[in-house]
Amino acid sequence: MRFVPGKRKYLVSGDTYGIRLLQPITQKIMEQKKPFERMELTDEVKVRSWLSQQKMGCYLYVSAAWPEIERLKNITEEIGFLSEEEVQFIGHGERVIQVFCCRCHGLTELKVTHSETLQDGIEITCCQCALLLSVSDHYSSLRNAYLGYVAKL
Amino acid sequence: MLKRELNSFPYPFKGDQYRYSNNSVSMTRPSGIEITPQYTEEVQLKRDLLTHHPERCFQSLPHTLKSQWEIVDLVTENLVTYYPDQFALQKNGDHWTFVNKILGETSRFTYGDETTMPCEPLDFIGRHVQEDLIFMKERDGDLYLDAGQLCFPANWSLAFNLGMEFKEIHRPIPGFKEEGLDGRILRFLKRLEAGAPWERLNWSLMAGNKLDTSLETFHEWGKERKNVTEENAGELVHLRVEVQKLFRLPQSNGILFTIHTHVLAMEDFTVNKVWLRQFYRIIKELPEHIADYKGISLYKKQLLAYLEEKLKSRKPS
Repeated sequence: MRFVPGKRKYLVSGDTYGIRLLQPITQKIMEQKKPFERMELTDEVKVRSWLSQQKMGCYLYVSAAWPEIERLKNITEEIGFLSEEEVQFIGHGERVIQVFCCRCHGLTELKVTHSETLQDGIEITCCQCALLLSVSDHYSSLRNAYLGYVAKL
Repeated sequence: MLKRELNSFPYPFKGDQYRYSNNSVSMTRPSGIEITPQYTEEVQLKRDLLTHHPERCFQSLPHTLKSQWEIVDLVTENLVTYYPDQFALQKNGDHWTFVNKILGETSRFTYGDETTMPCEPLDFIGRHVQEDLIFMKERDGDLYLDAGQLCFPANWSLAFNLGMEFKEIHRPIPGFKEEGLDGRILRFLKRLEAGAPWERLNWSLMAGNKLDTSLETFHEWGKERKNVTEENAGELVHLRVEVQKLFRLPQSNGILFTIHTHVLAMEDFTVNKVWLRQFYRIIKELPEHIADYKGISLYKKQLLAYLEEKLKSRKPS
């Protein structure tokens, strides 16, 4: 999570826990005396209409449980918050990621708990070719997956 | 190794230490392609790899087709300009006839019409050169790896990196981001102009002489690094040098990145005493994170012992 300075206006949204997680960001926005709005993500229709009314130059923060993030990404993308220059997603809780096998290109799902990071050198077995993989933090948005390297030679 | 071949080997080092840098220089002979005595053997190897591992060796996003034709134009022009005895090109409007005299092949196609080709344009023209061909598209102030024919990668995966932006691609290089090099090189690439190509040399070491060191086959060739000893280092360890060339494509505003890979065994490399002395100092001084990334750490000690022995035996009496 990082504060992106210099935007015209900031939008902060998330589930109850997510809004709490975003508190340091909200703090920074207030310190900079920039306009901002905050909305808890309870009702999809309300969120859509809120985001659709925003003008160019807004920066959006979304924080929610990981399984919700993908759905929210689709919604914000539809509305027009497309790139990293416009929106940042912060997931929390347990998360399922995909690991791309460096040998066979197979995708294996991996549950990552909140306390783990991908730098911890998690090892998993590729579900397609059974190679033992060491999960890296190298991510492909096209594949929606993290690269798994050969864990043992 | 013939002395002639050793003389034409692209020696990548300057000074007594090595750090990551953008060591690009303006090209004096602006051709993306170089034909070497290994042409037939290497093109055949590329074609075999493309046949048996198409996903590993060729990837493209659908919006790149127009740019791929632009690359066919640039590469064929390079070939007939610099190697007129080996290649010919006849243009009758959009109906082109391309002749590869080395392989005895004639290809007829309609420029801009993929249906007249056996495969995608970039894949087609890549099958006539020793170089790997990478296409990067510029948009939203960034460069994206949107197509490529890559048969001889130095331990990376085209299939995984497809569609990635420049900084994401280079993320696994330790220290690259921290030193701000990724941003500097990206800015340099974005300033690249059509008609003014640049080139640079990149190097690494490997155990074995395989050109096709893909990430997909690392589990096979990576093991060799454990087998390096002081005694076999001359034969087993190879210097791998990539001649990388950068061309701005004026129509699509993308960048063509050509990579010609050369490998040379240590025993041949060290015949040149000047190279031997400089290389020894560089390896001895090389920071750990660079040695790790370049895959040298597993046998650095053995290699240094080999080089020391060579230095001793080559001292003038």
